[in-house]
Amino acid sequence: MNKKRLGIASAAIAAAVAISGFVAPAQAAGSNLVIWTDSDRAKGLKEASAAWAAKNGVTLTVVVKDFGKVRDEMITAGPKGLGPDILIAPHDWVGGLAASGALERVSLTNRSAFPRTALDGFTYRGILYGIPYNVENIALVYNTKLVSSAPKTLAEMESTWATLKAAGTAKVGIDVQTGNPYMNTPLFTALGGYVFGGKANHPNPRNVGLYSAKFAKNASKIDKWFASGFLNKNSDWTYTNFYAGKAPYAIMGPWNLEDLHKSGMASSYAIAGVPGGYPWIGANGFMVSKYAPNKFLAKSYIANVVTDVTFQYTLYKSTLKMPALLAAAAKVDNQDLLAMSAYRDSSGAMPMWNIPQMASVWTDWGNAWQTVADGKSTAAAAFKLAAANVKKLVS
Amino acid sequence: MRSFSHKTPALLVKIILLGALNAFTFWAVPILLSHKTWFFAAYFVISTILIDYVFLNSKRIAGKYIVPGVILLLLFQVYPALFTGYIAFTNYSTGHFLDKESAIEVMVSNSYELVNDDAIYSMQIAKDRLSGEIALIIRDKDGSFLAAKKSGTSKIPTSAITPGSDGKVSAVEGFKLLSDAELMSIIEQFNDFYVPAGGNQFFRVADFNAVEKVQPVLAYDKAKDQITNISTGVTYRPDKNGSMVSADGEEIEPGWTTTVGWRNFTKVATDQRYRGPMGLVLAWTFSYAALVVLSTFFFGLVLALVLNHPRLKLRRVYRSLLIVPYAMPSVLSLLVWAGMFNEEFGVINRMLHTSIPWLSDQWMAKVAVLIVQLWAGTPYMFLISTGAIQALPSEIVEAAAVDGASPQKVFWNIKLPLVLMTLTPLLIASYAYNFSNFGAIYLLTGGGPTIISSGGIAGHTDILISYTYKLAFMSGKGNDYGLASAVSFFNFLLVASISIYSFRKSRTMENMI
Repeated sequence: MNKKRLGIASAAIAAAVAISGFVAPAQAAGSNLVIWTDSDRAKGLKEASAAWAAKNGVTLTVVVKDFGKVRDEMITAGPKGLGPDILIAPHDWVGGLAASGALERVSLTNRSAFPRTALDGFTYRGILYGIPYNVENIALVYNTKLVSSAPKTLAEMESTWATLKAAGTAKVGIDVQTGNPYMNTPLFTALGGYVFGGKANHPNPRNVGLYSAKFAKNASKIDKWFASGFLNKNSDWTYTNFYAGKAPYAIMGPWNLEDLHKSGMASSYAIAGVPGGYPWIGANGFMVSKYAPNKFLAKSYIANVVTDVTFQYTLYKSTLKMPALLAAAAKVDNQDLLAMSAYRDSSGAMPMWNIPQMASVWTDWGNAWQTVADGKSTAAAAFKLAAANVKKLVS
Repeated sequence: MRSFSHKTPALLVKIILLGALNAFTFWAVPILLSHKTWFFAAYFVISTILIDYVFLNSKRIAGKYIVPGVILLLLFQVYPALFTGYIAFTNYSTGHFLDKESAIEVMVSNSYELVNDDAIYSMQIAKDRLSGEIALIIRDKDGSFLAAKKSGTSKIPTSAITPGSDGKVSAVEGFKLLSDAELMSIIEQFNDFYVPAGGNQFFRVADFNAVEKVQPVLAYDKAKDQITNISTGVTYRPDKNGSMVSADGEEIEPGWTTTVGWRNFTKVATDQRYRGPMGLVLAWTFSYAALVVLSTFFFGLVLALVLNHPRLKLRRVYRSLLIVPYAMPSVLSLLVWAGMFNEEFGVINRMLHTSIPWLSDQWMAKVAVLIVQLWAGTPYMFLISTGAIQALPSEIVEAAAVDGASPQKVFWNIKLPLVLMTLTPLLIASYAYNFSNFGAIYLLTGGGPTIISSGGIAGHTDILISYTYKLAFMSGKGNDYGLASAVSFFNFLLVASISIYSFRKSRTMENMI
């Protein structure tokens, strides 16, 4: 066999494989809607959209993505045409995604069907980028065997803790993950702190309140809380002390309710608010990619399906989080969720800021909590430093 | 004519592999071209031609050895390093991922607003019977009907309309109303369907049965390269950081990627927030890598010597057991260790009945990191030491013993220098590896505890690479790849110097013999 024949042979194989390559990717565009989500939501989603998909002959492709990576992939894969049509994500991603040009503006005609706060969460620089399907917030949970009624002041909570500590029944006052700024927000705001000034969807990043005048006066309370054990220096997500009946209070979100019931406390807890403080509102919703291959279909899905009462109620059944649509929320009879929502409404809670600068706020704010818990710094010094850092970063 | 020879199977393999390579290029290049990645398309084509030439030519024997390696080296080593270097000179970060053209397209297209709150019209989609063009049959607010095509709108006389039962139209003269199935087959055409509606206004298809009347708020003037807000009259001009900015500093998002000169480097060098911790991080990086290599090598060598003793029973069992930490995925074991070091619930403090702040005190955190790396790294050192010891020529050792050297002397003067000679390049490689062992730090301590004076980003156990990661993903507005690339380019230079030193060093060791 000579060189010539060798060349001819490889060219022939090349041609054969190449032709098969061109033929293969014949895809049916137009009727395939790709949705990126995390596993938590995937299950109910297909079920809830089945009727619409069948009626319109649309195939719904739900891709379960790694929650930690999906935001970056949305920004990098989208412009290359490899992104989804729809992204389901928490509202505080909106700023970073919209600032990077990854999201399509959406229109909503019936705004009064949703709570204002939930829509504010999905609004960035005056433009609505998503339709919420649930809202969530954390609240105070107390052990009814240790505490007779919902606390009315922080002082009342402290004295309850002091009594139980003296009696040896409790190991910690409030069981809440140490150093997690999100979970500690109701306590932080009760002391007069805030993150940014400004109204709901118009934050003023120049007005940093991590060390506000009112908080500065109260900051030493945090030192005292850690010193006395009212706050634990070393708590994780597991609520070991609360479930063991060794803590009168805990701060929990709706995602903890299932564990709470399994813990054997099913009949000995109640849900209330942290007196004087407010939690963040978190909303999850549907956003349309700027680079959606089926943008029109995606928008149509959002306008017709996501705003539908049955759809939101079906999703509620599978995720157990309060539906965003008011008509669907009205059908919820889960007393725990209702109590959490009541705290949200009565405390004047705001949606978590969705501006991209929040990324650095979480780091600095969490560090402040952690250094105080570790006893490396007083609360006054730690939060003053965090405020200065955030000011530098957002300017 | 010979039909079969001993060379034929090799030849067949060659044909198949070359054919597969060519096929791959045929398949990949059109895809690359469609994504406008000219560089890679050209690189694939040139590489394939070069490989075909070298392998179909009986003379280019040296090339057969060198060319494929060089092609892969350029693609997977040189290109990423250069690309990182390039990114270090750009503002590639959250808010600046797109090119300028796309960024302006996004700004303008997202600025289309409803002209008023009820500017939504019911509509049916049809086709012009003559031209086959898509037409939207829109019911205006006054009850009259419009036919809207991409070119513009025209009134439909009432006489041409046959009203349907549910407020819809059942037929329009000159148009064919499309069924749901027909719509579905052309649905992608409606992705950005705008019809001029007079003035600055447009009808936009909102749904299968509705259009919105919208108008843009922003307009881009290509000649002047500026954006104007139509309702306020404010103009926005590009600044040096790849954003459209108004005279009073208001910025429209998104921005675009652009080169920013040495800004990222000067930021690292002059901004106290980055420069402050950099010294501490560098010092810990060097000492961490050195301590890990020294401690693991010491333990590995001692274990290898002990387990090499011929009279020891169950040597194989011990050896197999020692390999276990090496065989375990480090992602798992590091997380388990992190749990064991927990101050309150961790196994270690519980067993010792202590409350050592393993992960929250800066010195104890460093000790914890070193303990875990000692556990994870010793098996490797044990393996290579055992290999080196067993490969020692027994004549030399026996000759020394015959000459009356004590076992200590044999070890210090003969075994250790010989083992070191073999292992020095591996030790230096291990140093370079630990220098950038991201997982070992990030999964165990997350770099913490925080260096308070640094303002939050760096921690006491952060090594250069984990610090870089934090700079990239936890600072400012979100992800700052430009800044992180500047730091990692610096890291690359350090690791490259260590490697060059390693090559030099091992050459001198060889020359000593």
